[in-house]
Parts: sequence; structure tokens; C-alpha cells
Amino acid sequence: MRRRLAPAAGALGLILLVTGTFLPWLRSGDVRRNSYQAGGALRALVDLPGLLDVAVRVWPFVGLWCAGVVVGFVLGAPRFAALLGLLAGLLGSVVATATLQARGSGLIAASRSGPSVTLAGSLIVISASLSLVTRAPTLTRRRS
Amino acid sequence: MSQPPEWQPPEPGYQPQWSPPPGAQWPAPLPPPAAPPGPQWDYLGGSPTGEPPPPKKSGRGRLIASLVAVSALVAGGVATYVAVSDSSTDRGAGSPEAAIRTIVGDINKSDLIGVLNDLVPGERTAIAAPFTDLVNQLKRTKVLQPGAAPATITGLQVQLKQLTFSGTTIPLNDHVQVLELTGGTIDLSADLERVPLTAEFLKAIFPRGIPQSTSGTQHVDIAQQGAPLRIATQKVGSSWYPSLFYTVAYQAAGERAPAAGDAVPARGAASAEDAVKQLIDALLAGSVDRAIALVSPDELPALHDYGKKVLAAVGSYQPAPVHLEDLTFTTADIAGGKRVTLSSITLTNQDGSKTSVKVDAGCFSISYDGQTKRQCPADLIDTATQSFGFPTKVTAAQRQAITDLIAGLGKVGVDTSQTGGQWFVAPVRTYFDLENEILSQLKGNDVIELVDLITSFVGN
Repeated sequence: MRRRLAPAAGALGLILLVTGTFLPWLRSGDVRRNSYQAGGALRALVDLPGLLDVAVRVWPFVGLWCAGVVVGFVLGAPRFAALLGLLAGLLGSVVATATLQARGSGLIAASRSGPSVTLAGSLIVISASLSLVTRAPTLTRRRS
Repeated sequence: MSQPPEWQPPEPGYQPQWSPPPGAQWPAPLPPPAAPPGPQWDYLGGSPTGEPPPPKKSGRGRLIASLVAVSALVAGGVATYVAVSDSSTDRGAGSPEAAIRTIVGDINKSDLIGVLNDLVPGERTAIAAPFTDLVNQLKRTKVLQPGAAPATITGLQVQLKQLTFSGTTIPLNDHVQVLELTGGTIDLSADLERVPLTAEFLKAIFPRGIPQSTSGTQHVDIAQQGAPLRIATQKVGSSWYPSLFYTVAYQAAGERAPAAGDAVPARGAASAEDAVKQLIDALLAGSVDRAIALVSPDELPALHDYGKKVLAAVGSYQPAPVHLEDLTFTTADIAGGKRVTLSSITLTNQDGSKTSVKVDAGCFSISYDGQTKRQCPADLIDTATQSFGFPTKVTAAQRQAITDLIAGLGKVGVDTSQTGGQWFVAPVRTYFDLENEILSQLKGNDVIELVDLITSFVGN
């Protein structure tokens, strides 16, 4: 039962993480922008500082990244999948937390729904990834 | 079909006929194979990292795993395709009319970010970043409420409906076209109470309460205006954008297109500092055409196209009775360029005497005719108070606010940007950044203290 819990939770987390990125992240007038539209609009308007600029540039590939986690797992590389998942979860949680913190700063009026769902998904993915990483050595010891 | 004979058990006492050959010896049993180095999983078929081997999948399991992998890749690919499309920074349109319709749509939705993004990239750079900074500065200095939403900052609601175009365009050059709006309505509503100003700031501006006249509406029927509303659009790359500055220039020129002979070609400098030095030189020498040539062609291409018309409007401009002897600057990186701030300037007067001003730690050292006088903000306040006299007493808080304001003035610089390997000055961006530089030195309630001082001064 426990063996299947981590992958199932990880899958749910990945779905939440990616779904959240398509929910509203930025509000301007009557317009709500998802995380990708918000990133594009911000990059066009202001010069983002180095690391944030890199994060915004790689952010559109988070969906493909999450797909890589699933592919890695079903093809029998759980550690590799867990590592990818951990990185995706960390990136998602950092970006979502930064957006939630940025409420009402300058031109940015952040919406809560998108970042909150992505943050929840990211935290689940991180937990599931850590669980997968720590489980493998335990099994090895038992068999030896 | 005949059946094979059934097996019968051997009779009792039966001896097998085979026996080992005499003297034959069995070889010694082989030792068990040595386990290879590394975790036992390797031997069992697992990975050398110690991971358990994946459970052997049946044919059906492999099929399901493949389907899951392919589905995940397809879903991830689609999500990435949509995400990359959404994250595009290019908001240009395929035609001049589409460009106008896009910005009108964003105006109607009060989408300030969308409106700024719809502008020509050069104008967007000039306006957006300083505007964002300004909003932050106004929040920091307690003019705007901390949670102010961008859409309500202007307090202005604009609705443009049922717009119709004449169908003809007026080409200004190969990359600028003017469109004519012949029908539709514009509804404007302004309401100061919708601007998210802080209670302290409103109290300072309106000590007797907000008057009734701070809100109003206006309805404009474009068809009833007697002439079409003309808006310029500019092509950059393969996309069209509405151009604020070309629209203003076209209107200022009496709705006349610039002739080829009106152009003052852009001619920049080798460095940001050099661009500012050459601009000051040109202005002191009365060389307005050289000053126009130094203006960023990305930010104000209209100024270059209408250059000679601007020169004609300015008329003769006498050189200043001084000669620029020396200039030193400090330079700071800004988004897409550099801000050049004056550190010192030395001028030679007509009589050969020299005047130099040096900005040092918020104070000004002024040297004239061999004598140097250092003026700090506090000294300047005393000089101003003695020279002009204030009818009301300046409080300590107000005095501090003035000191901070003057310190901000000392930080004012000129924004520059690079185009085609040459450096140009960016006057629009410099103007917008001017307020930010001054505001950046104000602290706490400084703005409210200054407003209090001005209202008490005006009131008396």
C-alpha cells in the first residue's frame, strides 16, 4: 500500500503543479493572466533581475519537465524520476511563493488561485520525490 | 490413430543396467560464483546505484507503461506549446487596424499591463519601467495605499465602443501609417475617490475634505467631432503597434506627414557618458539639430522624422555665454541602458573666469573666481528661507523633507540607451525617471510633510 502511495501522490502533485500554472497569477483590470502570460508580460515591461529572469525563461518548460518525471518512473528509473520531480517541485514552490509574496507590489497584483494550487502541487511532489529517494536503499538493505 | 503404450512400473528387484565406469572419479564441485563488487542488486539484475530492479512487467504491463509514458509526453508537449505561446513577449499585430483594435480591447478591460505591452517596444521601454518604479515609490512614500491595484491607479475609466475606420490609411513613411477613426463612442469617467490614495495624503491635500468636483464623466461621439480621430501606428520587424509619440508628433505638426527633407538623422556617441557630454555641449552651443541627432531613435523616431520642423518651431537659439571646460559623471546600469549622473562640471565664462560645481555626498561645492563654497541641503534651505521668506514656520519634519528632496535632486541623471552600436540619450525615460530619483530619497512622511508645507504656504 505504502509502495504505491508515493507515486500516486507524486502524480497528483504534478497534475496540480502544472494545472496551477494555467490558473490566474496576475490581475490587471478585468484581465487575469496565467503564469506564462504573466511572465511574458513582465519580461516585456521590466528588466527582471538575473535569477528571476532565468526562472521566467525556463518556466514554460515545466510541463515537459513534469512529463519527464512520469516517463522516468514508468520506464523503471524511480531515482531519476524522483530527482527530476524534486527539482520541479522546488522551482514551482519558489516561483509560487515569490508570486504570493509579491501581492500589490508595483504593477503586479498577484492572484492567489494559480500560485496557491502550484505551491500545493509542488509541496506534494517534493514529499513524494523524497519518499521515493529514501525508499530504494531501505529495500536494498532488506534483500541483502 | 494408434495410442502409445501405457507406462508400466518396473517389476520388483529390477536393477538399472548403467553403472559408473570403474576407477572413474567425480570432479570436485565448483565453488559458488563470487558475487561481483557492489550492491547485491547488481547481481540480481538491479542498477549499480543500488536501486531495486524494476518489477518484470508482463506484456500488458509494458503496454500500459508505454501508454502512460507516451500520454505524459504528449500532455507535457501540449502544455509546453501553449505555455511557450502564452509567454511570448511580442504583442504586435498583423495590420495597423488590428494593432488599434488590440489596444482598444485592453483599454476597455482596464488592462494597464496589456495597454503598456501593446505600445511600440521603444515607447514601452520609455514608459513602463519608470511607471512601475513610480507606483512603488508612491506606495513607499505613503501616497498610494500599499495594496493599490494598477487598474485603479489612474482613477480613469475609458470605454471605446463600436469603432469604425475610414478604410484609408495615411502613410507617413515606409514604417508608419495613420489610421482614421470615423465612428464610435468614447466614454471617460474620472473619479479621484477611485484612486487608492492614502487617507493621510488626501487629508494633506484636502484639509477641508474632498470636494465634489473631483469626479466627472464625458461622452464623445467620434462621428460628431467634424473630423476623424487619427492615430499613428508603427511597424517594427513584421508587427504593427499603436504609436503614442508618432500620434502626438502628427497632431503637433498639424496632421502633416514629414517630408524626406525634414529628417534629422540619428547620430549617437561612442559611450553613454560621451552622449550626455555631447548633448550638454550642443545645448550650450545652441546646436539644436545636434541635440536632436543625439536622441534615441528607438524611443523618439518621430523626433528624427520631424526634426527640421521642430528646428523651425524652436527658431533661432542663442549659444550660452559659457564654454564647457570639463565634465565628470557617475554611471549606473538601468534596464536596457545606463543612467549618467553629473559629478562635476566646469564652465569657462566669457571673461575667462571659471565656474565649477561638484556634487559630493549630497552637497554642492561651487567654485568661482578661486573661491569655493560648499552648500548642503540644510544651507540651501536657510538661503531659500532668508531670500524668499516663508510666511509660516517650517517644522523640523518639513525641514527634513526638504533636505531629502534636495538630496534627490542631486541624484538626477540622464538615461541613455544603445542603438546600432551608438549611444543616445532617452529624454522621455529620463523625464519619467526624474520623479523616481527625487522620490527615492524621500522617507516616511516626507511627501505628506511637503504637501502640508505647500498647502499652508498657498493658504496664507
